[in-house]
Amino acid sequence: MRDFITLKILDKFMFLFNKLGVDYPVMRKILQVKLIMDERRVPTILANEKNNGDKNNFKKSLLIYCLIGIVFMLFILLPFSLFFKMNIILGMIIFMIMSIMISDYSSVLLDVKEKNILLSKPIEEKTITVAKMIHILIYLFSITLSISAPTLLVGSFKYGMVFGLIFFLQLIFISSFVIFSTSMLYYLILYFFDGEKLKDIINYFQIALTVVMLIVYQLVGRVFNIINLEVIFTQKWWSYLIPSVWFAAPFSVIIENQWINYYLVLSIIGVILPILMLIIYFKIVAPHFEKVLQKLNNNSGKTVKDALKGEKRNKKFADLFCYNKTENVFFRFTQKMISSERNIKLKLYPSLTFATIIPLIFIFNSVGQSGSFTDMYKTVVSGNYYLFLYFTVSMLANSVPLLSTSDRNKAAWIFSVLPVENKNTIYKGSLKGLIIKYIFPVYSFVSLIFIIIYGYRIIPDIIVIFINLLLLMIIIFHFSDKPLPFSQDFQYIKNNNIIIFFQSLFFCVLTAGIHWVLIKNGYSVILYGIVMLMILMIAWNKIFSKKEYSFKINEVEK
Amino acid sequence: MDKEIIVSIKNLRMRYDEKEVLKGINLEIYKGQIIGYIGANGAGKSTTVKILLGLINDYEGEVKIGGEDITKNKVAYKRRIGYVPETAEIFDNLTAYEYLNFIGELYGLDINEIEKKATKLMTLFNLEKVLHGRISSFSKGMKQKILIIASLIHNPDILFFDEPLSGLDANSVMIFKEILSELANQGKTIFYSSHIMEIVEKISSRIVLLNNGEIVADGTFEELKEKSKEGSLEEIFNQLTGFNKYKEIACEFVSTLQGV
Repeated sequence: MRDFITLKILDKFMFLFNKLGVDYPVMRKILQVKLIMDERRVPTILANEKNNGDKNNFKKSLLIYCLIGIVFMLFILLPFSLFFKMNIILGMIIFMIMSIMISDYSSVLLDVKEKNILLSKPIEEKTITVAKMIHILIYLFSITLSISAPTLLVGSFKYGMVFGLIFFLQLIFISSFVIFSTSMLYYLILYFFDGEKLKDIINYFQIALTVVMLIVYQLVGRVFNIINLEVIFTQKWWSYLIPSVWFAAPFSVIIENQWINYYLVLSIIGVILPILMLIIYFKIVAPHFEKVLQKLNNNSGKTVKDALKGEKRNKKFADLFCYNKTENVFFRFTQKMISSERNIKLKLYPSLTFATIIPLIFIFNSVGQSGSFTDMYKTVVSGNYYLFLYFTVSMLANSVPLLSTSDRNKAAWIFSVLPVENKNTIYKGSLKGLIIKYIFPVYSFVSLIFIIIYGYRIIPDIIVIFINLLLLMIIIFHFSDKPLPFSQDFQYIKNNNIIIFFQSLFFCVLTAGIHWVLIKNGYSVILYGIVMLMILMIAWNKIFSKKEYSFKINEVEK
Repeated sequence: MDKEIIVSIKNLRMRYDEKEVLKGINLEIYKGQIIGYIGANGAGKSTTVKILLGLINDYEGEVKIGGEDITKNKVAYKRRIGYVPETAEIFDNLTAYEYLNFIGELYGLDINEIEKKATKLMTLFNLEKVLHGRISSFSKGMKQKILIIASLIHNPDILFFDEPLSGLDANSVMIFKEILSELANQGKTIFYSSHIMEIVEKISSRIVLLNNGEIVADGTFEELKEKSKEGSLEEIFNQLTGFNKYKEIACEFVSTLQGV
């Protein structure tokens, strides 16, 4: 079996593990197997690339983290007090690592399957627990190091080697702080709630992380414009509660020679707390952690009193949009699937949020230079910036292929066993379900913001843009290979991304162009709207009028 | 036999790429029979079932269900069929109630009726507490029970069960066996595929043994026993599939463990 440098480094600390009562050779073996398995696991992003040469994937992601780290590093060059700068940098680093821990490594921490394999062998539980922690630590520390590397280098250059030394030590403390606090957080959640709740919470963290990342990328260029105000840091009692403050304090003490009680106390917290957490974790939490982990698959079967009433209400609501029985069933089915499948939510929600924010970001970017807020407002109102809604259109229409994907895509065998007369009713129901529950509310919300800015006069435009959105959605659907809802794995989206991107681009440029020309020349958009509505209706009928019944073999589990 | 023929298969052939999986199957199944459909791994059992269900279309030969060719009207006959697949794939992010509702409505049942049936059937299978729990949190046996309920909720005439007992506890197995014979009494036809010979031997009114894409035995257990002069279905199975070295292999296996 391949040996790893990481493990060779770990060998140097063998005595530590022996002291903890860990069977080091066994732990090393477990880690080795885990690392080999990780190398072979192809992340979904790279799954369609053919070169599955070992270990490139994780290294690629390290490179990306390093690039993000360069942005963080820029703060060290600003003319503020070191304490303040380190606060910002460490704060961002902690946020990043915490998010990565929660989104990517929760599954490792919460794995119950490996226990079934390992505990049935003559291995002590402690060894397994430590191996698990070290496994995560190896990854988290590599990531921490790549995010911090730019700051580490530039900082050492600017403030001397002492800076580098403190920073490096801090990174070790920070990674362990993140791991132990996350595990304890999970422990507490599992202690009080059941596994489904924890999975939901993790899911919302992941969604939030994706949204924050998207916004950060948009704002990176503007960061320095925003922070051109002088910051005066005042000592407040609650600053003792902020992790980045603890870890930033030693820099002030040692490099800027500020031996003040305030900084000293903070520095001590920063050292003691991670160590304390380590002790608490292994002495108190770990023995019980595995026990509560068993709850992970439990689900307190809620007693729902009025499920029948609720279902009837849903059905009545669906009746407003669907006149066919099968269509109606799939309308509700689609909504339930999306709202209960975490992986779909993870893909859909960020793009919905982004669809809301993106026109606003573009407006901000294009008028941001014009000085005061009232000036900005005037520029916006006098322009036709509501046409940026076409960005929302292209983002929202992207959710169409998502309808065909699911983690449970293998369960789609059921569709072909069911007596469905016409496949088109399935598609219609699903599409309508998506539009009514997600697309329409999000679009209305963005539109509302624009109506507040521009007044009622843009309502016709907003309706026209919505008609165009629907048209784009069925165009994307029509030119896809029309798999059944939830019958494909997420790879499907990756394979179709480019085509859909060009379809949206072409469509939006064309429709927005016509729209812009009409407004520019003072024509009413109402006629445009009527024409587009007719095209939409004809297209809808044409696409769905054929009775289609053919299940391709590849749609069905072979 | 003067009974009504419900499934008839004539000269059914099927090939995947080069490999011929079914080499001309002829079978007539009568109403109310429980067919034990057995065969070694890869013998073509699942393929047959999938053709009958309309999951595979590019076969040769003729398949009639209820007297009508299944390629003629691909949908209507599915109302009369219930199916439990071998792999328990299910949209398990839904709750049991939601899943059963979805299936039931597509079979054309009314919501009130589904509610009543689902609650009652779940209670009978001892699952009343998890009716509104997500299926993902269920054990294997519980999932299997949901699949069984889902396949029967529309009261079908023809049932296809592929290893339906996997994961069920002994009590549930007994209930399920009773359900099968009760269903057969009511004139339902059951296609039962399994590798557990003891159960097939006990419940089947007719046993069909498939080997290498051909039917090598067809008849009641008693008939097969007489023909092959073996005591149990397991032994008949071994004989007909031409496998008789199990003792030697087992001995060698154990002696390897002890270190030769």
